[in-house]
Amino acid sequence: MPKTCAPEELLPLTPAVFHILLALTDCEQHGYAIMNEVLKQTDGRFRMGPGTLYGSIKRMIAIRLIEEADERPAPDLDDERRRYYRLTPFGRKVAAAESRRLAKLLSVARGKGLTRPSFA
Amino acid sequence: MNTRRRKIVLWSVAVYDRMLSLYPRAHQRDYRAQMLQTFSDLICDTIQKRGVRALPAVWIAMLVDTGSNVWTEHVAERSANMGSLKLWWNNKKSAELLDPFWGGFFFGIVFCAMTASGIILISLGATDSIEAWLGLGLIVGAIAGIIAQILQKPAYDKQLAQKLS
Repeated sequence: MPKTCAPEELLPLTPAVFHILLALTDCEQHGYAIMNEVLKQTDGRFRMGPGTLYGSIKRMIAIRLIEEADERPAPDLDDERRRYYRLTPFGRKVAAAESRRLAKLLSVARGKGLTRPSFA
Repeated sequence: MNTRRRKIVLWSVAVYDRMLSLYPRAHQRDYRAQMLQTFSDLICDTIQKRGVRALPAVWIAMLVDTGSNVWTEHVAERSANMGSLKLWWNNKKSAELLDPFWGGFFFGIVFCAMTASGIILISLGATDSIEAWLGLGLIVGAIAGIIAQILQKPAYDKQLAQKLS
Protein backbone atom coordinates (compact mmCIF):
# COMPACT_ATOMS: atom_id res chain seq x y z
CA MET A 1 0.00 0.00 0.00
CA PRO A 2 2.53 2.69 0.96
CA LYS A 3 4.57 2.40 -2.23
CA THR A 4 1.65 2.35 -4.64
CA CYS A 5 -0.76 4.76 -2.97
CA ALA A 6 -0.97 8.34 -4.22
CA PRO A 7 -0.25 11.10 -1.67
CA GLU A 8 -3.80 12.45 -2.09
CA GLU A 9 -5.26 9.15 -0.88
CA LEU A 10 -3.90 9.83 2.60
CA LEU A 11 -5.57 13.23 2.89
CA PRO A 12 -6.76 14.88 5.01
CA LEU A 13 -3.99 14.27 7.53
CA THR A 14 -4.59 14.48 11.26
CA PRO A 15 -3.16 17.66 12.85
CA ALA A 16 -0.53 15.62 14.73
CA VAL A 17 0.72 13.91 11.55
CA PHE A 18 0.83 17.14 9.55
CA HIS A 19 2.69 18.99 12.32
CA ILE A 20 5.23 16.17 12.60
CA LEU A 21 5.78 16.26 8.84
CA LEU A 22 6.27 20.03 9.00
CA ALA A 23 8.69 19.69 11.92
CA LEU A 24 10.80 17.24 9.93
CA THR A 25 10.78 19.18 6.66
CA ASP A 26 14.07 20.99 7.27
CA CYS A 27 16.12 18.47 9.21
CA GLU A 28 16.05 15.20 11.11
CA GLN A 29 14.96 15.49 14.71
CA HIS A 30 14.43 13.35 17.81
CA GLY A 31 11.11 13.06 19.65
CA TYR A 32 11.48 15.90 22.13
CA ALA A 33 12.81 18.25 19.44
CA ILE A 34 9.75 17.43 17.30
CA MET A 35 7.47 18.22 20.28
CA ASN A 36 9.19 21.58 20.77
CA GLU A 37 9.14 22.39 17.06
CA VAL A 38 5.39 21.72 16.91
CA LEU A 39 4.88 23.93 19.96
CA LYS A 40 6.86 26.69 18.22
CA GLN A 41 4.95 26.30 14.92
CA THR A 42 1.64 26.70 16.71
CA ASP A 43 2.62 29.46 19.16
CA GLY A 44 2.23 27.02 22.04
CA ARG A 45 -1.33 26.02 21.14
CA PHE A 46 -0.73 22.43 20.07
CA ARG A 47 1.06 20.53 22.82
CA MET A 48 1.65 16.88 21.94
CA GLY A 49 2.39 14.34 24.65
CA PRO A 50 4.79 11.42 24.15
CA GLY A 51 1.81 9.07 23.67
CA THR A 52 0.40 11.05 20.73
CA LEU A 53 3.85 11.70 19.32
CA TYR A 54 5.09 8.10 19.27
CA GLY A 55 1.69 6.70 18.29
CA SER A 56 1.75 9.00 15.25
CA ILE A 57 5.41 8.21 14.53
CA LYS A 58 4.63 4.49 14.59
CA ARG A 59 1.83 4.86 12.05
CA MET A 60 3.86 7.27 9.92
CA ILE A 61 6.75 4.79 9.75
CA ALA A 62 4.31 2.03 8.82
CA ILE A 63 3.08 3.98 5.78
CA ARG A 64 6.61 5.26 5.05
CA LEU A 65 5.97 8.96 5.57
CA ILE A 66 9.03 9.12 7.82
CA GLU A 67 11.91 6.81 8.67
CA GLU A 68 14.49 6.42 11.38
CA ALA A 69 17.74 8.16 10.51
CA ASP A 70 20.85 5.97 10.53
CA GLU A 71 23.23 8.72 11.53
CA ARG A 72 22.97 11.08 14.48
CA PRO A 73 23.52 14.76 13.65
CA ALA A 74 25.82 15.34 16.65
CA PRO A 75 26.66 12.00 18.28
CA ASP A 76 29.19 13.49 20.68
CA LEU A 77 26.74 16.07 22.04
CA ASP A 78 23.71 13.87 22.27
CA ASP A 79 22.20 11.10 24.38
CA GLU A 80 22.70 7.85 22.50
CA ARG A 81 19.26 6.53 23.51
CA ARG A 82 17.62 9.15 21.32
CA ARG A 83 16.44 8.11 17.89
CA TYR A 84 16.24 10.59 15.04
CA TYR A 85 13.57 10.66 12.39
CA ARG A 86 13.52 12.12 8.89
CA LEU A 87 11.03 12.69 6.13
CA THR A 88 10.96 10.20 3.24
CA PRO A 89 10.45 11.47 -0.35
CA PHE A 90 6.89 10.06 -0.12
CA GLY A 91 6.35 11.93 3.17
CA ARG A 92 7.48 15.15 1.53
CA LYS A 93 4.97 14.60 -1.30
CA VAL A 94 2.17 13.95 1.20
CA ALA A 95 3.08 17.09 3.18
CA ALA A 96 3.06 19.12 -0.05
CA ALA A 97 -0.31 17.65 -1.08
CA GLU A 98 -1.81 18.46 2.34
CA SER A 99 -0.39 22.01 2.14
CA ARG A 100 -2.01 22.49 -1.27
CA ARG A 101 -5.31 21.16 0.07
CA LEU A 102 -5.20 23.57 3.02
CA ALA A 103 -4.17 26.46 0.75
CA LYS A 104 -7.17 25.76 -1.46
CA LEU A 105 -9.46 25.74 1.59
CA LEU A 106 -7.92 28.98 2.79
CA SER A 107 -8.54 30.62 -0.56
CA VAL A 108 -12.21 29.56 -0.34
CA ALA A 109 -12.38 31.06 3.17
CA ARG A 110 -10.73 34.26 1.85
CA GLY A 111 -13.25 34.42 -0.98
CA LYS A 112 -16.04 34.39 1.62
CA GLY A 113 -14.33 37.14 3.59
CA LEU A 114 -13.75 34.91 6.60
CA THR A 115 -10.13 35.91 7.08
CA ARG A 116 -10.94 39.60 7.64
CA PRO A 117 -9.98 40.85 11.12
CA SER A 118 -13.64 41.68 11.88
CA PHE A 119 -14.35 37.92 12.09
CA ALA A 120 -11.59 37.29 14.61
CA MET B 1 19.18 21.45 39.72
CA ASN B 2 18.89 21.08 43.52
CA THR B 3 18.29 17.76 45.33
CA ARG B 4 14.57 18.35 45.79
CA ARG B 5 14.04 19.09 42.11
CA ARG B 6 16.15 16.08 41.12
CA LYS B 7 14.00 13.90 43.39
CA ILE B 8 10.84 15.23 41.75
CA VAL B 9 12.26 14.46 38.30
CA LEU B 10 13.24 10.91 39.31
CA TRP B 11 9.88 10.32 40.95
CA SER B 12 7.99 11.66 37.92
CA VAL B 13 9.98 9.50 35.50
CA ALA B 14 9.43 6.42 37.70
CA VAL B 15 5.65 7.03 37.79
CA TYR B 16 5.50 7.64 34.03
CA ASP B 17 7.53 4.48 33.46
CA ARG B 18 4.84 2.52 35.34
CA MET B 19 2.13 4.18 33.30
CA LEU B 20 3.85 3.05 30.11
CA SER B 21 3.23 -0.56 31.17
CA LEU B 22 -0.40 0.04 30.18
CA TYR B 23 0.52 0.20 26.49
CA PRO B 24 0.42 -3.00 24.38
CA ARG B 25 3.62 -5.03 24.63
CA ALA B 26 4.65 -4.51 21.02
CA HIS B 27 4.33 -0.74 21.41
CA GLN B 28 6.33 -0.86 24.64
CA ARG B 29 9.05 -2.93 23.01
CA ASP B 30 9.47 -0.39 20.19
CA TYR B 31 8.84 2.94 21.92
CA ARG B 32 8.96 2.68 25.72
CA ALA B 33 12.58 3.83 26.08
CA GLN B 34 12.05 6.75 23.69
CA MET B 35 8.80 7.84 25.36
CA LEU B 36 10.50 7.78 28.74
CA GLN B 37 13.44 9.78 27.41
CA THR B 38 11.09 12.35 25.87
CA PHE B 39 9.07 12.61 29.09
CA SER B 40 12.24 13.03 31.13
CA ASP B 41 13.39 15.84 28.80
CA LEU B 42 9.98 17.48 29.14
CA ILE B 43 10.00 17.36 32.96
CA CYS B 44 13.57 18.67 33.25
CA ASP B 45 12.84 21.46 30.77
CA THR B 46 9.60 22.44 32.52
CA ILE B 47 11.26 22.59 35.94
CA GLN B 48 14.17 24.64 34.61
CA LYS B 49 12.04 27.10 32.67
CA ARG B 50 8.86 27.39 34.76
CA GLY B 51 9.64 25.76 38.10
CA VAL B 52 8.03 22.93 40.07
CA ARG B 53 4.68 24.73 40.21
CA ALA B 54 4.22 24.10 36.48
CA LEU B 55 4.40 20.33 36.93
CA PRO B 56 0.73 19.64 37.81
CA ALA B 57 -0.31 21.08 34.44
CA VAL B 58 2.24 18.85 32.69
CA TRP B 59 1.00 15.83 34.63
CA ILE B 60 -2.62 16.50 33.78
CA ALA B 61 -1.66 16.74 30.09
CA MET B 62 0.32 13.48 30.40
CA LEU B 63 -2.59 11.67 32.04
CA VAL B 64 -4.97 12.73 29.29
CA ASP B 65 -2.37 11.83 26.65
CA THR B 66 -1.72 8.41 28.19
CA GLY B 67 -5.39 7.64 28.82
CA SER B 68 -6.42 8.31 25.23
CA ASN B 69 -3.38 6.79 23.54
CA VAL B 70 -3.32 3.58 25.58
CA TRP B 71 -6.85 2.98 24.41
CA THR B 72 -6.00 3.85 20.77
CA GLU B 73 -2.96 1.57 20.73
CA HIS B 74 -4.87 -1.38 22.21
CA VAL B 75 -7.66 -0.94 19.66
CA ALA B 76 -5.12 -0.64 16.82
CA GLU B 77 -3.28 -3.74 17.97
CA ARG B 78 -6.48 -5.73 18.24
CA SER B 79 -7.56 -4.65 14.76
CA ALA B 80 -4.14 -5.65 13.40
CA ASN B 81 -4.43 -9.05 15.08
CA MET B 82 -8.02 -9.65 14.02
CA GLY B 83 -7.12 -12.80 12.02
CA SER B 84 -5.50 -14.59 14.93
CA LEU B 85 -8.11 -13.15 17.28
CA LYS B 86 -10.86 -15.15 15.55
CA LEU B 87 -9.02 -18.36 16.31
CA TRP B 88 -8.37 -17.18 19.84
CA TRP B 89 -12.04 -16.32 20.32
CA ASN B 90 -12.95 -20.00 19.93
CA ASN B 91 -11.14 -20.75 23.12
CA LYS B 92 -13.48 -19.89 25.99
CA LYS B 93 -10.78 -19.16 28.55
CA SER B 94 -8.93 -16.86 26.20
CA ALA B 95 -12.15 -15.14 25.22
CA GLU B 96 -12.69 -14.17 28.84
CA LEU B 97 -9.52 -12.14 28.67
CA LEU B 98 -11.18 -9.97 26.02
CA ASP B 99 -14.05 -9.18 28.33
CA PRO B 100 -14.82 -5.44 28.33
CA PHE B 101 -14.87 -5.69 32.14
CA TRP B 102 -11.09 -5.72 32.14
CA GLY B 103 -11.04 -2.63 29.93
CA GLY B 104 -13.03 -0.65 32.50
CA PHE B 105 -11.07 -2.06 35.40
CA PHE B 106 -7.86 -1.12 33.65
CA PHE B 107 -9.02 2.49 33.22
CA GLY B 108 -10.05 2.60 36.88
CA ILE B 109 -6.50 1.65 37.76
CA VAL B 110 -5.11 4.34 35.42
CA PHE B 111 -7.23 7.03 37.08
CA CYS B 112 -6.22 5.82 40.56
CA ALA B 113 -2.56 6.03 39.54
CA MET B 114 -3.15 9.53 38.16
CA THR B 115 -4.85 10.63 41.38
CA ALA B 116 -2.08 9.15 43.53
CA SER B 117 0.52 11.05 41.51
CA GLY B 118 -1.48 14.28 41.94
CA ILE B 119 -1.68 13.76 45.69
CA ILE B 120 2.04 13.10 45.96
CA LEU B 121 2.75 16.27 43.97
CA ILE B 122 0.50 18.23 46.34
CA SER B 123 2.28 16.77 49.35
CA LEU B 124 5.59 17.85 47.80
CA GLY B 125 4.22 21.40 47.78
CA ALA B 126 4.21 21.57 44.01
CA THR B 127 0.69 22.91 43.75
CA ASP B 128 -2.16 24.70 45.48
CA SER B 129 -5.69 23.90 46.54
CA ILE B 130 -7.32 23.70 43.09
CA GLU B 131 -5.30 20.59 42.26
CA ALA B 132 -6.38 19.04 45.55
CA TRP B 133 -9.99 19.35 44.41
CA LEU B 134 -9.05 17.96 41.04
CA GLY B 135 -7.36 14.99 42.72
CA LEU B 136 -10.49 14.41 44.80
CA GLY B 137 -12.58 14.50 41.62
CA LEU B 138 -10.36 11.91 40.02
CA ILE B 139 -10.64 9.61 43.05
CA VAL B 140 -14.43 9.81 42.99
CA GLY B 141 -14.41 9.27 39.21
CA ALA B 142 -12.11 6.27 39.49
CA ILE B 143 -14.17 4.63 42.26
CA ALA B 144 -17.39 5.25 40.36
CA GLY B 145 -15.85 3.78 37.18
CA ILE B 146 -14.70 0.63 38.96
CA ILE B 147 -18.08 0.14 40.68
CA ALA B 148 -19.89 0.65 37.36
CA GLN B 149 -17.70 -1.94 35.69
CA ILE B 150 -18.17 -4.44 38.54
CA LEU B 151 -21.97 -3.98 38.32
CA GLN B 152 -21.86 -4.61 34.57
CA LYS B 153 -19.76 -7.76 34.87
CA PRO B 154 -22.69 -10.24 35.08
CA ALA B 155 -24.25 -8.72 31.93
CA TYR B 156 -20.95 -9.06 30.07
CA ASP B 157 -20.62 -12.66 31.26
CA LYS B 158 -24.10 -13.41 29.94
CA GLN B 159 -23.34 -11.82 26.55
CA LEU B 160 -20.08 -13.71 26.34
CA ALA B 161 -21.74 -17.03 27.16
CA GLN B 162 -24.38 -16.40 24.45
CA LYS B 163 -21.67 -15.53 21.94
CA LEU B 164 -19.73 -18.67 22.70
CA SER B 165 -22.66 -21.08 22.80
